[in-house]
Amino acid sequence: MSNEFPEMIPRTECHSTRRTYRTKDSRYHMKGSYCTDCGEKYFPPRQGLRCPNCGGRDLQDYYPPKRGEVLTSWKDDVGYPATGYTDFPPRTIVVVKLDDGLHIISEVVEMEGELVEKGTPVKMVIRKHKREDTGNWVYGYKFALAE
Amino acid sequence: MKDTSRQVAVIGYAMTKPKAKDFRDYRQYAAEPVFAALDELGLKPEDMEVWTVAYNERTVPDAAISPHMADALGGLNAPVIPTSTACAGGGVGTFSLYNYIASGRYDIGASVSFSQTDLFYPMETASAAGNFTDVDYALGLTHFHYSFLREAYYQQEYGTQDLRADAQWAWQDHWYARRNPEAVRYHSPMPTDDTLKAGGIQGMRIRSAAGRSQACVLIMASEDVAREYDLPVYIDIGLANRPAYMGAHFHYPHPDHRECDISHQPGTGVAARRALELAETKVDDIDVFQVHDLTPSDGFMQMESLGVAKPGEMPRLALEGETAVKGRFPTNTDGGAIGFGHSSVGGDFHSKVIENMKQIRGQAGERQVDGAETALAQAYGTHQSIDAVAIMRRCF
Repeated sequence: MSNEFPEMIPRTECHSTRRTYRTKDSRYHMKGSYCTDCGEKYFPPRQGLRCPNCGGRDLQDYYPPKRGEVLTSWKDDVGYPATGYTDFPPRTIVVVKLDDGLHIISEVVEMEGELVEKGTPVKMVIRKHKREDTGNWVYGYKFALAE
Repeated sequence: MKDTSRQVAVIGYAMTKPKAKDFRDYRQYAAEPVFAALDELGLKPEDMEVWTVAYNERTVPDAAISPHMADALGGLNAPVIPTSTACAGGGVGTFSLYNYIASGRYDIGASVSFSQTDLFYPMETASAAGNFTDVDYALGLTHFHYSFLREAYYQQEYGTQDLRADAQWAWQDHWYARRNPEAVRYHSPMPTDDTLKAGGIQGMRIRSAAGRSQACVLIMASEDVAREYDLPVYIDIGLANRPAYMGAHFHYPHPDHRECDISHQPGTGVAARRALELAETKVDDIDVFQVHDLTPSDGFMQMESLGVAKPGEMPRLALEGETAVKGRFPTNTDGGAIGFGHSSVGGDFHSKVIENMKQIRGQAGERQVDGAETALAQAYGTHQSIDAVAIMRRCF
């Protein structure tokens, strides 16, 4: 343990760097899938799996719109912060309905834990999250209030 | 789906009591109720033709527990089937045992479950389960976020933010728990109305599940074998799943449930229908319910998904006292997760089956529901993704 990486404690649930790398597109770009047979869209991605709607097997990359609206929100202040997030202010956890109808679980930044009204427009942003087991920072999507 | 070939009954059970400190290892911990139940029935471990063992993999370092349990319990020559599907694990193990016996291959067996929640290290390890880890858990969204977000959505959609109905549901759980010596909150003072309706951490803690360690066993047998024992109870079980990613609970990826959202629990409804069909009964004929209520809103959702009430109707029915022992559908008479305790695999399914055994046998004391003959036990696991429902009926 060094002062350089003060959060570096043994964490049994920490993601490995390899796993973090392999799955990065979904966290950086909200990469999902769409079915070439019926057009149904999915998040998280389902490539190589089965389309639940039509049974099709040809699912391709899909990048959903980066805007949507908040469906519901909750203030994360009940004493169970996620590992790596204990230094963050109370987070505002939300369900976002994207403009194409997909639903994403995420958080709205710079709210200091304040709730967000249903229907509030938001946009996807990339923000710092927590450290991997090597000490590298994990980045990924969050949402911010849209003008 | 084919009909089962014969009836299955629970003939015996046992569970550990709540204990502040327990330094036994998991083998010793799981063995206590197993030997107690077998002794009560005059059976030996060698009499068990098959075992299922449900455990929480986040508290057990051994990767494959079947040889450990076979050795510890005296079942080396019998099949021991492990399952680790989080809080529904007991339901999954019991479902397997039910089918082994119903099919005719085995006549008698034991469904074991255990979880020592104080061994979660760190507490965060409990949180990854039931989450889509590549996106959500990797981005700091845990088990707890899913649960409380679902509660917030239910309260918003059905106008229960004033917490009156939530407080009433929780109060009822606490009332039952003060009359159940097996409940983790048996000795605690009843919470006040102000505490039950409070916001923030204080109110949340008294209105939500109380953690506990637990181990349970159900001894199950075919109808013919069950006739040799006192007061057996028939059991039928349904099992279903929901998508692990909670965002997919909107525009649900199954054609039967496209209009669902996170305030619905379609897997519970499917599992219940299957169990009710096997038992050849209807939800209206159930005398007592045990449902998985980590929060009151959670309890409302389970009851609505079972078909007891329409979506959004359960808070009003709770306020009217219908979940009380003299109500139309007495619910969580053991105290539920809020009063009895939430032990994940250890008892979230088994303890509900055991409470129903007591109710149907007329052994529930002050919690006894008059004339209870048919009862329902429901549990879900890995954050509302695996659903198990059991229907239990008086035998013979």
